[in-house]
Amino acid sequence: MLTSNILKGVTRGFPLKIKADKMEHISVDYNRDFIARIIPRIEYDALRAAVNDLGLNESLPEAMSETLQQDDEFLKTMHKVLLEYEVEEGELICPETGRKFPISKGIPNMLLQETEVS
Amino acid sequence: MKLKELESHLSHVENFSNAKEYLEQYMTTPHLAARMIYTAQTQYDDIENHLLIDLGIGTGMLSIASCLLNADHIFGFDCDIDALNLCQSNIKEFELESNIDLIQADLRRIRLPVDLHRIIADTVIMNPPFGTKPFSSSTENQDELCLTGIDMHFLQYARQLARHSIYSLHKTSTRDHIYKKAKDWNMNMDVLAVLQFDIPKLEKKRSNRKTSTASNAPLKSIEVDFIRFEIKDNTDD
Repeated sequence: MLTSNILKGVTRGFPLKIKADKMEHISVDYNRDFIARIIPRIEYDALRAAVNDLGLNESLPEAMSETLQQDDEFLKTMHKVLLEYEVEEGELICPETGRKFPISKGIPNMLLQETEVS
Repeated sequence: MKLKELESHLSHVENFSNAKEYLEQYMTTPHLAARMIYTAQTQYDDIENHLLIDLGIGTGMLSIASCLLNADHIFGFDCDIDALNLCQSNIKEFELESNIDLIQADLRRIRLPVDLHRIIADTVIMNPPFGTKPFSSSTENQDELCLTGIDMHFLQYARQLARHSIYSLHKTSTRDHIYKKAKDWNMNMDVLAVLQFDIPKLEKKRSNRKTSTASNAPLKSIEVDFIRFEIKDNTDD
């Protein structure tokens, strides 16, 4: 899940939308310090949008305040959302062009065709 | 973890079975990878609890080494799906699936925004292709080649993606050129070591180029610099 979020941060200005055909729920040991370190680096709005796109049954507050970043419940939810959901098969979609980037075995394919290179 | 222990763990990373010559694929040795990452951590504190990006992740050697030295999380990029599959298998072997995320991308094509907000990794690690001279024959598909200067291309992306530092390998013969670029791109540059490298020699005009593997290609010995670049212009840190 972290991957799609950093790609949303990295590519152009607009976050890519995400669609899953096959999701996996995995169990990962909770490391509070790691989550606390990571969350200031996350594009929070993009993450919320992804959670929404995927229809995950997790509720994330609209904004991530300083106090929230210390809240255990919030950190545990962020842990689940960032590490325990994996899109095995699916797509990332550019909201501007509709261009789809397939995700296969958890790996997004961002290779561009000859004609797409500006 | 001690250096010897790290190197010993890395000996379990599986090598390419059919390395693609035209992509200059070869495994960074456990010996070299252990020393690179061990130095980055013990001398510069650039690995533990940090976010990393590995450009041209290949077998995953550098990233696995970094996770063993407690990097927080790593994003690895490679253009070749076969390399990524091998990498994934190595990641599974080391049980690092939740620590390393893989992305298939071609750094010759993708355009990254030069937007400071988008800088997301603390440290970039890489063993980039060094590139060969372009073929004179125009019938060869130029896109498939790692052209001369491709390592500078990788370095340019690294510069856009790193908040603090970049660890990379470049031919010693290009050192002055790289020093100039580092200055232009507002980075400090330190050559941490000079190594003797044996890389499969990429020969021109071989008809079996696509099917020959690194294992039967003649080896070429070159001098390589292990370099640390430090980003200078983070005024808000």
